[in-house]
Amino acid sequence: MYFTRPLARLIEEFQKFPGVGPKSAQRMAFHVLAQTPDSVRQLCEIILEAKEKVKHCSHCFHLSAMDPCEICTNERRDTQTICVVSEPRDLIALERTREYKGAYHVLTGLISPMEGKGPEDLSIRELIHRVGSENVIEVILAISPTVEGDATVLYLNHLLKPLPVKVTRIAFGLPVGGDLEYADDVTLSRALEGRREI
Amino acid sequence: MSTYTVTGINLSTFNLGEADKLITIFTAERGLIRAVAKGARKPGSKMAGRAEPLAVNKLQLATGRSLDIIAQAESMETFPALRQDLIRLSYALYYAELTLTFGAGLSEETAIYFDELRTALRLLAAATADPAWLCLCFELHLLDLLGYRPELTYCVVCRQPLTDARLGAFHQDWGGIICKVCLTSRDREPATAESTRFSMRAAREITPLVWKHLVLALDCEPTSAAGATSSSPKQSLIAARRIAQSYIEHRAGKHMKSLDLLAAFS
Ligand SMILES: [Zn+2]
Ligand SMILES: [Zn+2]
Repeated sequence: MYFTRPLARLIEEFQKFPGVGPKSAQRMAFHVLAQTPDSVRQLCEIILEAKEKVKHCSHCFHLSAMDPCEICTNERRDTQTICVVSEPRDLIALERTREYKGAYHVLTGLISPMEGKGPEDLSIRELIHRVGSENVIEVILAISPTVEGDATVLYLNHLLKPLPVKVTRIAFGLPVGGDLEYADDVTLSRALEGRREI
Repeated sequence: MSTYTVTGINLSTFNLGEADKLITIFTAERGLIRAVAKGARKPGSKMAGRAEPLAVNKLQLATGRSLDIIAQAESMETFPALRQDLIRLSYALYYAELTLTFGAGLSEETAIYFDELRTALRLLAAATADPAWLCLCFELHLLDLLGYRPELTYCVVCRQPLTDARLGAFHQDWGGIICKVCLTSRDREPATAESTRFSMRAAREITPLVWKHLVLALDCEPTSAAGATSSSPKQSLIAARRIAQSYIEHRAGKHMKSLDLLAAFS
């Protein structure tokens, strides 16, 4: 297959996006070429603007064009509860439920021993500082039940335990609509652990 | 499309596309392989738990154009206890890192090593012995399988038997212990051609207690390791482990990362 050099480069760049394979990258590149020069220029400006203006909130590490971010400055939110998540996209998923009204803390990743990613690479020190200085009553760890997630939770629990704060982890169990007999044993044992009275 | 069946332990995973994972697996039948677990990152996917590092599965794989794809996975063991203790989890991940690093060199012994790795993970999960001791046994056992068994009974230079009083240092380039006499006379009189080639930077002081830990760990069967040295001082066990790990890193030509977290933890 032959693409003229500038087109090949564009396809190559699109292919670096997460979840984009060669086919999708080609479609995206042809889509760009089909646009008017003005709308392509506008797209480039939007990308640049987002890159320049969106930063980690210095307080909770969520992504925002404001610092502190919209959630940290919202006075209606309960600041005595901090929900700890790994990535901004997890925060957004929790916000979508409209169930949670407390504050957040984004770790910007998880501890990954095999990749040499340790606590110093995350915003853990800032979290401990917040818990120690902000009259926090409960810390909810909303962290995935993966090996990296578990390592991170164990580490955070070790640091939070000496502090006068309640530490909880969100429950993990059977997916809604899932069949019990198909669940693997780790999922089932966690579902049992997380059971509650009805 | 042809399929084949293996029994394997997941070592590491890498996110692929929107919802897939690329897993490196150590199998009893074929040693190290890589395979795609489709949809493994979707919560509720049957693959999710089975695609996690350290999970043991019976797998049916379909040969793909570039990567093999997991057609079916039957969970055999998942070691939930390891996921509740950061120290034991770190050691287990270190075993996985060792297997990733050296697994390709085990072509003849894959079935033996597979059983040993699985047993070693069970012992870690059972939490009856000091994990540092279990790890030292595992490290020396792996070196033995790879043909890098360190020399701990005779001086690597003069071949005299080692005794408590004669211990000098562990030398990584020489893969064993140098006696005190050879260690002090080395500068005056280079006994062999090699002795001038290697600097003493690679040598570590060794005490009788550390030496005994290393010798004991080499002799121990992974299955009988439980409680073997519950009475020995922690410090010398830690020193023996440091020597074993740095010898391994020297052999691998790279730093092993999995246990870095523990240094910050304790
Ligand atoms: Zn904020
Ligand atoms: Zn000697």
